[in-house]
Amino acid sequence: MSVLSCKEVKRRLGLSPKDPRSIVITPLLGGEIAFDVDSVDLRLGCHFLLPRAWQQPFFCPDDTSSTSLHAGAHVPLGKYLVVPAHQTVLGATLEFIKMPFDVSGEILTKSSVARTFVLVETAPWIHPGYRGCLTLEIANVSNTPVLLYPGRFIGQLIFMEVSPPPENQQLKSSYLGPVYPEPPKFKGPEEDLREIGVTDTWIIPHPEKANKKTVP
Amino acid sequence: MRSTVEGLYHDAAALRSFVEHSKLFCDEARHESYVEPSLDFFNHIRELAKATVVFLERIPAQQYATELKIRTERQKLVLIKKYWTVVHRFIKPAADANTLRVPVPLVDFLSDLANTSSLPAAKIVILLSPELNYFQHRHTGLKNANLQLRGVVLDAPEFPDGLGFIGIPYSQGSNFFTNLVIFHELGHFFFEELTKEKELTTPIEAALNEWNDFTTLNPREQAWSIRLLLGWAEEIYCDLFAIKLIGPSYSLAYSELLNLIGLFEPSRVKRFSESHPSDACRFREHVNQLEADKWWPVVKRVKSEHVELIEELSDLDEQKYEFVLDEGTTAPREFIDAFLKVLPHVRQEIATTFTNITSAVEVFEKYNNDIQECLLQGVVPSAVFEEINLSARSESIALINSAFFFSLTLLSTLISNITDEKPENIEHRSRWLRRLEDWTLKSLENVRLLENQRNA
Repeated sequence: MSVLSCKEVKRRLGLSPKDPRSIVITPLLGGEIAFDVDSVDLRLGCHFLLPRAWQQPFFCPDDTSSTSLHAGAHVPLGKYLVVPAHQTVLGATLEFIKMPFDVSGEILTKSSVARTFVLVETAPWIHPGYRGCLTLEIANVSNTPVLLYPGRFIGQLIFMEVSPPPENQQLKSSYLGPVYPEPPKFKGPEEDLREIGVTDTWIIPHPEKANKKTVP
Repeated sequence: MRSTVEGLYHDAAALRSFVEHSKLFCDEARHESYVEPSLDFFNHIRELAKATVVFLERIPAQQYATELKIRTERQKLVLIKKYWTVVHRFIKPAADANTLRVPVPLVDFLSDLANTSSLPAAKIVILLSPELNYFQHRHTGLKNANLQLRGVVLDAPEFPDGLGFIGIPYSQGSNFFTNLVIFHELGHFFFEELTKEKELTTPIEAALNEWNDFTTLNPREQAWSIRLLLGWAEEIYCDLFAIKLIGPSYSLAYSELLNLIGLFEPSRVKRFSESHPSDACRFREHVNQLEADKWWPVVKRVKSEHVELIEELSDLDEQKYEFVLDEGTTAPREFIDAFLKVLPHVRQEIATTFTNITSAVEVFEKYNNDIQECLLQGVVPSAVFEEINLSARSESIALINSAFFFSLTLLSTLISNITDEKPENIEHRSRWLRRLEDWTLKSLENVRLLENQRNA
C-alpha cells in the first residue's frame, strides 16, 4: 500500500468523475495552500450534530439512534461554535469528496489543531468508492471551551492505493453522498445478534413504550 | 363610552405586555442562525419594541385634564396596536425559519439574483407557514403603517428598506425542487416595489372598455373588474419573472406544486378563478417566455410527464378557457377576452424589468452533460465548475435546471447503479431524490464560495 503523492492526487483531480480512478474535492478553496506533499487539508463545514440532553438513564444504540441522540446546529461562515471542555460534537468537512475505487483514505487531525487539544476522528478510515462530505467526530479533550470556526482547516486527508484494486466497483448505499454530518444507523440489538444465532436478547423498553405507572 | 385615565393605563399596560411577549420570539431567535434579512427584521422588531415601551411608560407622567386628551392618547395606542398587529403575523413564522429549516443556499441564491439582476435591492425574510402553499406578503401596507406609527412613536425605527416576506410551507422547508416556486413570490415583491400595477391599469381599462357591456356596469363593478384583471396580470408577471431568473425549472416546480396540492384536475386547468388565471393560460405564457429565452428546445428534449403536461396545457385552445366565480357560477367570457389583450403589456413589463440580464441557456447547454454525469456518479456537481471562471449566477442556473431534468429522467438510472437499491421501491426513490436535492443545494453553496474567493 503506497501513499499517493500530491502530484498524483492533482492528476486524479483532473480526471472525469466518471473515471473510476478519479478524485473529486469540491469546493477546493485556497488553491495550493490545501496541498501538502502527501496530503490534502480539509476545512470544517457549517453543519453540526450536538449531543442532545438525554432524558433517560441510558442510551442503547438501536434503530431510533439516528433521530434520538443528536440535535442539529447550523453555524454560518464567519460565526463559531463553542465546544465545551470534554465534549464531542459531530461535524463534517466543507468539501465533498469522491474516493477512487482503487484508493482508501484516512483523515487525521491537522497537527496544529491537535496541539490545541482538539481531536478529529476516532473512526478515520474512508473506503474506496466513498463519496460525500466526511463526518468528523470532533472532541475537545482540553479543560477549556474551544471555538470552532467553519471554513478553517481541521483535518488532513491521506490517500492510499489498495493493491490489488477491488473488483466490485458498484456504488454502495451506506453512507453514500451525505453533505451534512450523518447520525449513526443501527438495527436493534435483537436483530443484530440474531444474525449470529443469539435468540434470547434482553431488551429494555423505551420509556415512551413502557407502561406508565400511576402513583396512588 | 367614557374614557378614563384608569382605562388608558389599562390599555397601555396590556399593549406593553403584548409587545414584550412578541419581542421574546426575536430574543429567543438569538440562539439560532438565520439568513441576513431575518436578522434585520428581528433587529427592527427589537428597536420597535424598545421605542414602544419607552413611549408607553411615559404615559403616566403626562397630565390628562380633559376626557378629550385621554381619548387622543388612546387613539395613539390604537395606531400603535395596528402596526404591532401586522408585524405580529410575521414574527413567529420568521423565527421558525432558522437556517436548519430552510434551504439556505437557495435563499442566498435568491437574494444574490435579486441584487444582481438590475433590480432594486431586496432583502427577503423567509416565513415558515402552516399553509400548504407559497405566498408573498404585501409590504407597501406595512411601510405605510410604519409611517403612521412613527408619527406617534417618534423614536420608532423606519421599516427597513427593501424588506419583503415570502412564506413557504413548513413541510417543504428544506426541500429544493418545489421551493423553486419562491422565485414567483419574489416576482410579487418586485411587482409591488416597481409599481407595475400602475403601469398595467391603463391597458387593462382600455381592454375592458372595448367590451360594450363594461360601460353599463356600475362604478363598483367596474373597479372590481379592473382589480380582477390586475390580479391575473400580476400572476402572469410573476411566472415570467421567475422564468427570466431561473429558466424552465420554475415551470417544472410549479407543476410539482400543483401535483402536491392536488390541483391538476382536467376540469380545473382551463378555469380562471377570481384570484388566478387558468393553468393552461399560465403554461402558454411560460412556453412563450421559454421560447423567447431559447430554453424551450432544451425543455422539449426532456422526456417526462411534466414536460408533456406543460406542452399539452399550453396548446389548449384559448376559446376553451372559462371564468368561474368563487360562488360557482360562470362569468362572462369577455373578462378572459379582455385579459388576453392585456398579456402583451405584461410581457412588455417583464422586458422593462430585466434590461440587462442574459439567459443562462448557453452555459446550461455546454455543461449539462457534465453536471448530469457527476450526479450519476453520486458527486456534487459543483466539481464541474472548479476550474471554470463563469459567474455563480449562470453556473447556478445551469446546475438547478440540469438537476431538475435529472430528477425527472435519470433518477432511476442512478438508483439502479447503487447496490441493493431499486427504483421501484418508494422508500429508496424518496431517499435518493432527497440526496439529489442535497447535492444540488451543496453545489449552489460551493459555486457561491468559489465566486466569493475569486472576488476576494
